[in-house]
Formats: sequence, structure tokens, C-alpha cells
Amino acid sequence: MTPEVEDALSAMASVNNEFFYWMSIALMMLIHAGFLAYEIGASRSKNVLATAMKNLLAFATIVASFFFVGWFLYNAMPSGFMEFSDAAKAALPWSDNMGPNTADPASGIFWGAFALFAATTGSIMSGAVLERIRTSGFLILTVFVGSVLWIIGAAWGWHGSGWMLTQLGFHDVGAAGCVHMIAGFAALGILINLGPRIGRFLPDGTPVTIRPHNLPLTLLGLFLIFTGFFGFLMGCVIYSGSGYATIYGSPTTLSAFAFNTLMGLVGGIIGAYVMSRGEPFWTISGGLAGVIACAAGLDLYHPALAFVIALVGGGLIPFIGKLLDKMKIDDVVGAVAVHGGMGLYSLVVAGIFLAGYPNTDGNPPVSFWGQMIGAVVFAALGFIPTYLLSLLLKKVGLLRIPPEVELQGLDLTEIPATPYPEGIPVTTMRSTSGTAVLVAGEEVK
Amino acid sequence: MFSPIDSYDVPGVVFTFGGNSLGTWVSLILAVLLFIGFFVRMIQHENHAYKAIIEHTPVEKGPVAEGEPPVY
Repeated sequence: MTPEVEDALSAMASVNNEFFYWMSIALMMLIHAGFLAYEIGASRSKNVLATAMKNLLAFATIVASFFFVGWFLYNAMPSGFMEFSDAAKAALPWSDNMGPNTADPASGIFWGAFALFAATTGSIMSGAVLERIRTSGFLILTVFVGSVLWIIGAAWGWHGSGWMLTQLGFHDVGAAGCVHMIAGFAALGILINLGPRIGRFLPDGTPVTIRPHNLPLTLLGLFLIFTGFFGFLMGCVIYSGSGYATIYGSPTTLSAFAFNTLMGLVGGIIGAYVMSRGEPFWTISGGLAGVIACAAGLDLYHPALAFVIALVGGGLIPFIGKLLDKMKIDDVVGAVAVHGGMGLYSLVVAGIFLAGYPNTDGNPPVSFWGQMIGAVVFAALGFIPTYLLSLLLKKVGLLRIPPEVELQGLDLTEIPATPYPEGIPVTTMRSTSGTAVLVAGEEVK
Repeated sequence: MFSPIDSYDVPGVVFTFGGNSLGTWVSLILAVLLFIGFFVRMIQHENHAYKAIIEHTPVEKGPVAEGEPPVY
């Protein structure tokens, strides 16, 4: 091969690499379009625009803060502690690599993909805390989780040199632990301090359903999230001119991910449909739950096994939701069940079915106990710091909006516009006698 | 004026001011300060808005926005 041909191939590989992750970033943007639609729909009509602002600002603040600190933490902390290696120094926001540099076609595109992972992690919590959290308090929490906590978890357990891989043989190719578990357990920590919406539980603890003002929009939002997850999973593989590898360096293919992502998605929908008795919100959430349930082993499961794992996972989420109800924890969109519960389930199931699989570069093989230790670390990393920070915010009055504001709505309070100036649609609802009647979309207080 | 290069002959840093320069540091510090300032301003806005709604003056002063709710 002549030097000219080698140069051309090298240039082509570099261009392909950048384009691959560019597409991953673009598709991951759909996750945020989905979160926006999903949470707007899940809100009552009095909080629609405030919910949208919260989503937009979460995205904005996480991406900016991820440039300031997040990428450095990922490159500095694989050993468990902060080390100023060459990779860490190159990730500092004032380094030659953290800006346009014609000699470095990799740093920016990888930073961008990870920034979108960060925004996804931070935004997962957003729906759980709808309609009563202070936007500023939420943004502080989401920046903390999106640009600090999850990326430390990723450095530990989702990195080719992370200590979980080198010490435990940890395997989680689809980020069920560092993204979903950390976000879900962080959401739980916040919800405990935040408390339920006014009227969500009767004095005796009986849960009261507060209906989404636009359930079809939540369904569309989740389908956008499904689409965006194909970009998310693109970013979970390492692309090079010679093929694909997992984030741990073991060989894989996008075909493997296609088999198991799709089988997981549909298995989760079916499982959630059956176990929720056809409840639309849980059914479509089951699709996401199914993908997360299989995420840890997307590169290795047989598709039929992925389907079974996802079906069981999707069937579990309504029960996790009911358990939270019994604990008087008001998780508006089921984020703790879908992300925290399924992230944990994914790591445990991978420990059962993938135990004994080899790793590369002399790292120990996958083991059940390695997966369990990893799950405990991610649960603690998500829950404890976020619980403590949200407790601090509660003490200084930055966590929850005043009850007067909650009753009248955040849109009227802090948004200089109204979402539906011509009113909201009338909804057909079943009366206690079983006959269908028309009633105005009334708020539960 | 702020270009670190005279030509594209040698691949390397092309961003404004150049690597590890005073301009880069000033930009970075300014960006971080503005980021923090956004949070301060947001908390002020929320406190003002909450006070107004509790006192039954929900609409803030300023130009009328599209679809703004009427004063009650």
C-alpha cells in the first residue's frame, strides 16, 4: 500500500469517526425533544410552560457545566481518585484539545457525545419532580448529577481503564448503571426531601391519581425518546476504521445492538401492558424499561433472552410504582421505577447471564459479585450525595415552591405567557355510574 | 486580531487567542461567572414571582407578552 493510499484511508477513518459521533449527538437530541413533550404532557395545564422552561434550562446548564468540569472528571478519575494524567490535562477546559484544533479530530466529538449523555442523565430526574420543585433548585441538582456524579460513575464503571473493569470485570455496555441507576436513585433522594404534590395523597396515605393534562403528548414524547436511544447506544460503542468495540474494548457490532435493543424495546412494552392491564402510561414506559433492562448486556444476549429479560422488567415497573405510592413518594413520570429500578435489574441480570464471559486486556471476567458490587456503588453514588444536597437546598428554602404558587400554577407565577390562551379541551370521563359523561378537565387539589 | 495562526500549513490550535493564553483564560472566567450569575438572577426572579403571586399580583411589570393572562 502506497503512503498516499495509507494517508487517504487514515483521513477517511477520521472523517467517518467524527461523522459517526456527530450523528449520535444529533439523534440524542431527540431524547430531549422527547423529554420535553413527555413532561409537558404529564403536567397539569397550569404548569406546562414552566415544565418546558425547566427542561430547556436543564439541557443548557448541564452542557455548559460539562464543558467546565465534566469531561475532565471522566478523564481524571478512572482509578477511583483524581489523577492529573495526560488525558486529564487534555480535558481541562483551557487545554489545546478543548477547542477547534485541526490536529485533534476526536476530543470535541467525544466531548459532545458525553455532554449529551450527561444531559440525558440530568434530565431523567426532571419528570419525577414536576409541578412543585423550584426551577433554580432543580438546576443546581441536575448540574450536580449531570456534570459531576454520573461522570464519576462513568469513569469508574464505563471506561476502558475504570477500576470497576480492571478490578471487578464489570460489564455494562449500555450504561444501565452510570446513567440510569444514578439518575433514578438521585431522583429518589430528591423526592424524599421534596415531598409529594399537594393533593397527591389523602391524609390516610391513599394515593390520588393526578391526571396528565395531555397523555397523547406523553406517548409521543416517549416514542421520541425511543428514537433518541438509538443515538445514545451509537455513542456507547467505540468506532474505528476497523470496526466497533464496546466501551471496555471488547469487539462488538451494531448488529448485536440492533437485535437486542429492538427485542428489549418490544418485550418491555408487552410486559408492562400485561402487568399494568393496558394502562397507556406504564405500557409505553415499558418500552424504555425494556431497553434499560437489557442495556448491560446488549452486546452479548441472545435476542430471545433479551426479550424475556425485558418483558419481565417491563412487567415489574408498575409494581415498583405502586411500592413508591405506598411510601408516599410522588414520582410523576415513574423515573425511579423505570431508570433506577430497571438499571439495578439490568446489572443483576447481567451478573446472572453473563458471568464467566471474558474481558480483554487482561481484565478479570464478568462475575455476579462484580456486577452486584457495581450496582451498590452506583446506587450509593446516585442516592447519597443527591439526598444530602437536596436536604441542604430544602433547609435554605431553594427546593420547593410555596403552596400558594403550587395551587395557582407555575405558569401564572413565573412565565410571561400562557400555553392555551383559548382554553383546554374537554375530556370524556367515566362517571361513578359507569356512563360516559363530559366534564371539563378539572384539577385535583 | 485574535488569531493565533498566520497560515494553515501546520495542523494545530486554531481557536481564538490560542492555547493557554490570556484571552482564553479571560473568556473562561467570564463564562463561568456568567453561568453562576444566571443562577443568582434566576433565584431573584423566582423570589419576586412567588412574592407577587402570594400578594395576588401575578403578572410582572413589562411589555405584554403573547397570550399573557389577565390581572385578577
